[in-house]
Amino acid sequence: MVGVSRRDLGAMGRWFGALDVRMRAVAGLLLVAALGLAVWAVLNGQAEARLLSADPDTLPAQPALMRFAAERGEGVFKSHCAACHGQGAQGHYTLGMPNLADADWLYGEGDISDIETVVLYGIRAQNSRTWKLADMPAFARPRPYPREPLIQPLTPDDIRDVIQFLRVAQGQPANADAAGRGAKIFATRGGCYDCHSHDARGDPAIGAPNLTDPIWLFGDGSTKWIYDSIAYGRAGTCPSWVNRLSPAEILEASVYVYSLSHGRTSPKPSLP
Amino acid sequence: MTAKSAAPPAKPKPGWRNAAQVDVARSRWAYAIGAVIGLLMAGFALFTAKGTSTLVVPPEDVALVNQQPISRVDFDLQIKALYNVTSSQATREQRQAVLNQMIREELFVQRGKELDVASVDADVRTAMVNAVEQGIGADVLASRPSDDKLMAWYVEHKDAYSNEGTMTVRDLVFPADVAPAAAQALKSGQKVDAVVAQFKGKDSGRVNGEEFYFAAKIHLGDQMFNAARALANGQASAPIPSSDGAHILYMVTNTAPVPKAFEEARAQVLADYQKAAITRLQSGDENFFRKRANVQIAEDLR
Repeated sequence: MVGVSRRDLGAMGRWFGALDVRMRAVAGLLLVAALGLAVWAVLNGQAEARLLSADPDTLPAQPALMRFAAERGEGVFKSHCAACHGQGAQGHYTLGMPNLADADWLYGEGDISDIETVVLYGIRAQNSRTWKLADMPAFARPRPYPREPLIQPLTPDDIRDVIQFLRVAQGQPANADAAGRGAKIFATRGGCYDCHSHDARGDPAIGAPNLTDPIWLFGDGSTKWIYDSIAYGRAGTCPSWVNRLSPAEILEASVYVYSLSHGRTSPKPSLP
Repeated sequence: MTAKSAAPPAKPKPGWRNAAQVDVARSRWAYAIGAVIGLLMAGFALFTAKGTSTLVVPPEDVALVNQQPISRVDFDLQIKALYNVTSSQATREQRQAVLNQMIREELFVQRGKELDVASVDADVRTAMVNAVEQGIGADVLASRPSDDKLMAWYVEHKDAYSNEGTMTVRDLVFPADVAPAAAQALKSGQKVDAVVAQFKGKDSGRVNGEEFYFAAKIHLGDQMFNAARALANGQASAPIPSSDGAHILYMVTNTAPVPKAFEEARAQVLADYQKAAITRLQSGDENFFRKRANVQIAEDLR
């Protein structure tokens, strides 16, 4: 058994004293750095524990914790999400990758818990808990939506009429007759209302986009892109990160994404 | 000024090369520090490794059932699904009810493992097969292929990214004896309605307005569709005998399928690329499972 006696301590002191000034400075700096690192690790661990045990939707009311999570989440986002969503999270319109920096949310209402659920289980991902309730049918195919055989194909004229209806829904100039026919298709045999709602405002519960705003998930909103979406269908994906990232990383990335459209520390506005 | 006294002989500096000069105290300190660091590292690894028994519930979980964690996120989701409130808005009773339910589920899952339910329950087996397949596929979705790879895939499978052709065709039926003359009249550029009236023809009613190729094929049948597809705008086909007379197809507009540009097809290219990668990976994993398994087959099935 090796003991450290007072004599040994004295010897240690003498040894330290015998070092030249530069060595003493280096040794002192190393000691301070080690202590600082230890303190930082403890504080970080505590903050992470507070973050993980909090109700995610109450985090916006805790600015310090939000800042802590968002700063760490930025790195997670840039390593794992930016390849599709872009470094600035602005999305990619040819791939149907949504802009995460605006206030338009496809799945859920944009709360941290909603974002976290998407990060965890993905969208149409290889996970039984993923969001995959519906795809956009391909109306220029013999079987537009194999999961729902009742949905029948549309003709090119039908598709053009629906586009005119969407133009009206967006407050843009359109052919009134064609828009009238399109409205009927939208609400009946097209089955569009089933996901996008009768008012075409979409349904965040199934990720059906709002078709009345100027934000387009696929394409630039031109007739060509809308035609392609209706004719050939859409089904964007987002990977599931559960078991690939730690719970802390998933929550931190979610907080970072939330902070992009809400301001890093601004509290969530209370409901009326 | 005092005279300098004779200095004592210089003590040799401690050094590690010569055992006689080793500073024992310093060695002990180094040893002690190393031991502490080693213990700390061992302790950290021991208490954070998967499967480690611990008395502390990690902050990301709400409970440990036989060391198996129940995730806080799943708990929150369950509360939201059942009561439409967040976990902090839920009452103590609501939280307790959900937690009890989740603990019960975990206990039964663990018991199911003990009973080896998967060996007898078809639903469990299917779920396990699906879960493993999905797990393999998830790796593919989590890594985004480069644009160069997508472009190479697109070039290789360009035909798959064509839009559906469309045609506006008139399917006219004439009495068999006058059909050749009617076809000749249409080919010479006479107006369709005039030819129909002159040769007592009629519209078959099978096609109506612009149609996608697949729809025209269904409406016209394979033989007539193939004849129609070959027609350019303003051309008429030769008479095609049928039970109700001779059909002549007059093409108003024929738009053949055109491959989409890469940018337009990109989302589908990505989806197809990933789908193929998932299939490849699942097949590779299956081969690996087979290789490492000891599969014995009954004599009559060898």
